[in-house]
Amino acid sequence: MKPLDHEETDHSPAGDGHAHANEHAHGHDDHHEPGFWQKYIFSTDHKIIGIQYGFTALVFMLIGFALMILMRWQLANPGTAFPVIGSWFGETYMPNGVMTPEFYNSLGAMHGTIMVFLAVVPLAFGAFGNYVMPLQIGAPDMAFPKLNMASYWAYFVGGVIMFASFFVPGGAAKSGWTNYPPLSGIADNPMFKPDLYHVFFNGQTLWLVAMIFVITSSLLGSVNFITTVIQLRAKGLTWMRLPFFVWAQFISAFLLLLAFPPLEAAAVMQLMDRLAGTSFFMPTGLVVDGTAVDALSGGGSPLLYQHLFWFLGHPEVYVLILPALGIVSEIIANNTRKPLFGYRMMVYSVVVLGFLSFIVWAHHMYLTGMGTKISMFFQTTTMLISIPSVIIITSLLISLWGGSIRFNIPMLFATAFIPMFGIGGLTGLPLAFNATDLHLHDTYYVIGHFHYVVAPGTIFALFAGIYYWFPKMTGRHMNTFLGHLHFWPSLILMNGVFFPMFIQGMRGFHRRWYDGGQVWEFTQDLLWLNQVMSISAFLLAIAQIPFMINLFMSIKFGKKVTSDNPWNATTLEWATPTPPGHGNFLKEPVVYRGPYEYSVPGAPTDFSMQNEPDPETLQPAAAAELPTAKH
Amino acid sequence: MAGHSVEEIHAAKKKFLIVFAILAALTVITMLAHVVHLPYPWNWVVGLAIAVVKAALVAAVFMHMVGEKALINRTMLFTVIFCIGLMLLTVLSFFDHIPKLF
Amino acid sequence: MEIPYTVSARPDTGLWNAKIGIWLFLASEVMLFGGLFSAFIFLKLGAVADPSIKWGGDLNWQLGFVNTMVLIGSSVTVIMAWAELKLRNFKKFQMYMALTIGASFLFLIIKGFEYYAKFTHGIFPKTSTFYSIYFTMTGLHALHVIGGAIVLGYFWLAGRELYKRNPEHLANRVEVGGLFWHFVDLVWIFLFPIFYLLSSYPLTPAAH
Repeated sequence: MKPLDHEETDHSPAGDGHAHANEHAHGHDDHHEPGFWQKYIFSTDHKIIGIQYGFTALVFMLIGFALMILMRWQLANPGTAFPVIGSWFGETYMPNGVMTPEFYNSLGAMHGTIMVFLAVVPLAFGAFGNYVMPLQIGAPDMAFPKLNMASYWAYFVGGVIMFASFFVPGGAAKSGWTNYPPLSGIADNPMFKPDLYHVFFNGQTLWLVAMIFVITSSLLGSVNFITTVIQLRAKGLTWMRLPFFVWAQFISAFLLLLAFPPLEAAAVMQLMDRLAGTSFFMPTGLVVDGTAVDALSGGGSPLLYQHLFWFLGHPEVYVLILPALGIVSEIIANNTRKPLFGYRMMVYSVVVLGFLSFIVWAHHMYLTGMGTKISMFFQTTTMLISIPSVIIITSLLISLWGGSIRFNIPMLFATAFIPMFGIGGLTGLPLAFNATDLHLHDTYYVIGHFHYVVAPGTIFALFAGIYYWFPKMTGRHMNTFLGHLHFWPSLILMNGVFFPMFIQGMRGFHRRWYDGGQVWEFTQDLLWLNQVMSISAFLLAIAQIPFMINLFMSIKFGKKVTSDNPWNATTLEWATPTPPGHGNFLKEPVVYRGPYEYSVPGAPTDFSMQNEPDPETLQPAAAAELPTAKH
Repeated sequence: MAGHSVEEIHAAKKKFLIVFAILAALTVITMLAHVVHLPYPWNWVVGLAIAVVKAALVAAVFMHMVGEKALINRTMLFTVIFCIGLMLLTVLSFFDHIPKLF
Repeated sequence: MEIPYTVSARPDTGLWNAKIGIWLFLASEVMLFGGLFSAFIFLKLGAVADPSIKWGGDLNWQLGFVNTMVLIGSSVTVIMAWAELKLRNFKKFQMYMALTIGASFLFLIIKGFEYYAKFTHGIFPKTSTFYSIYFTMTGLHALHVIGGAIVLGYFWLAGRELYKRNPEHLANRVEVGGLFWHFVDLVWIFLFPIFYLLSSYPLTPAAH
């Protein structure tokens, strides 16, 4: 891609990472082929990095799923040995194949951690964002390619440390994915089990260290995304011509940038508590198993941790959903052959949503003893934030109206997303109100709510995105029959796993009960739902096998695409060669129109790509201006 | 920043030195305020106010926020709003709590 | 393949890439130190419970005062370094950078001496929540001083090479490094009065 006229050529080695510092006395041109390591392992190309994020995240998703399968067996058949592989986990965690309560807690804490921080966000933001966003804005790469590589490897190291934490004495972190002190302060603490635990190599400490790597990765990535969207948009690509996917990633990046640091501060403070003997979060008068632990604890505030955690925690859930909304938007516009309904309102909504998400966090803390005034503040902001959320999902629903809908596999997942996210979102409302949350907090209702949003919500959108952009990445389609085998059972079984949780939750089943609630009188007549959910979960696992086969098989044997734009889409990523090469575009793209010009009256085809200028016969669209003033 | 002319840079250098003098003076005033032991709440008010003024000078002049593009200034404005929101709401929750039952 | 706008500004935003990058990074740092300052307030309020324990104070404010002047001075020298670079006075640029890095060393030495004095008197982070937050915040700040000094040190030492190749690019990088340095100074501007001067005084009227 040749530099623009006014651009001063960047001669520094930190510029684009190739050619200038080439000292080789070869006769050929500057661009000598990078070796295997630089091309595929330590690549600075956003597409390779996106694929690295994607595969790493999918592996972690599989691990996180496997942890949950273990848990669901225990919940349906408490105290019984896990069949066949129960003995693999050793005498400490599963003696005779039966899970110990501590191991159950580890599984729960790590399932949440891995799914949120190592699987869904890296896939939605790291993988899709990295691969697709620069293509959709017509950029040759991210603004800071080396930083991009650093951000992937920081994530990788954090992931390895998280995974390794299973194998240290005492096992992985076991105080919930939230790691509230004082429980997290006394868990894996050498003071209580000096023979078993190590002062540094224990699950909780490694969790904290791993998070520092993951947060660093996130911060570097966010800086890159935001700068890239601002600076590297193609000529003519104004803000209101951006695909909604780019807006969604842009706002997600801001959320990650500003919300993660307080959690990083909290992680550092919890590490200080564990390693330096401080008591940031450990209160005075703490008593463990009947013994006062003054040596361990004094003067700290557990509540402080919760504030710092949830200050991140809430924007984090918007990071989980926004890229998914972006993906679904692209696929729905493409497969209804009409523009998105209410694009402008969707953009305003996502910006307002981003802002509001910073001031709602304490709705996760209604039961900490907060008074009525502060509860009312958070309740109000939480109700307000549902408005932009509803605007976006309603716009997506209305976008279907009057469309010429093509139900290909991406569209199936994207369409299913709408009611599933609807259920997830609506079930959040009783949780937003202090009064009803009193009953529902820490019950299975909460688990049902957030899983609906993330599992048949976000993850369905991510599947949709994989099926949709796979042809651009590989030049081949994924197999449709296997796609159906993946989609239909998954849709039904997701509901089988998560819907009963609302019922159990309203009855009062607690979260994190290791035995599924079997010892309580009030749970007895609903215990059978544990069986329903567990069987659904096992079958759901099997339903993912067609997807895994499809993914790998289609790379080599999938039906080849017949053009660079097999879906007849309008956005810029489809204007590249397949797969896009280094630099992405053969010549610098110029944008002449909005992102969803499908079925434009009078146009020769039912889609007009963004970089397609109008022929003279039609009404001239607003020509591409090279803006020089502030816009 | 390629738009700076030689004269502008020379003028800027003078500005930097003046601001340095002001910052040094404000630091000395902070010390004096500490030594005279102002009563509550003036000790906090004066101490923090001077800190805010110093920070504003560093941000406005050294970090060139005066005359910086709106994009950057607005981003930092929202950041500060969120930062103050975090501090304020956290502290308010400390004071507004359910009365102790025992 | 060239990434555009690494040195010259994009016409409609008026900014070059690293400038946005560093400001975004600084935004995240504001939130990081903001979270820690929130912790300070929370812990101080919580410490009211036992008035017999003196929470705060006990820091050498004279040394803190010196360090404040050192950092403010280094803020001026780094921006003078940038200005001289823009004027293409390479030697003066080198001098101001050396002063800046020297100031950072002085700051770290004084800080190290303060820490050492505390440790030898048996005062550690775990001694009280005041010392926990003091050591954590000033320690994190010191790590940022070290990081900034390393980056500025690289521009100073490798400066001649970078200057020969593309002086404007070097000026931009020094500006970016300088922005980070000013932020480090900014944090100290708040750390000093809060920890050294005010921390032992009650935050609320009730505590009187």
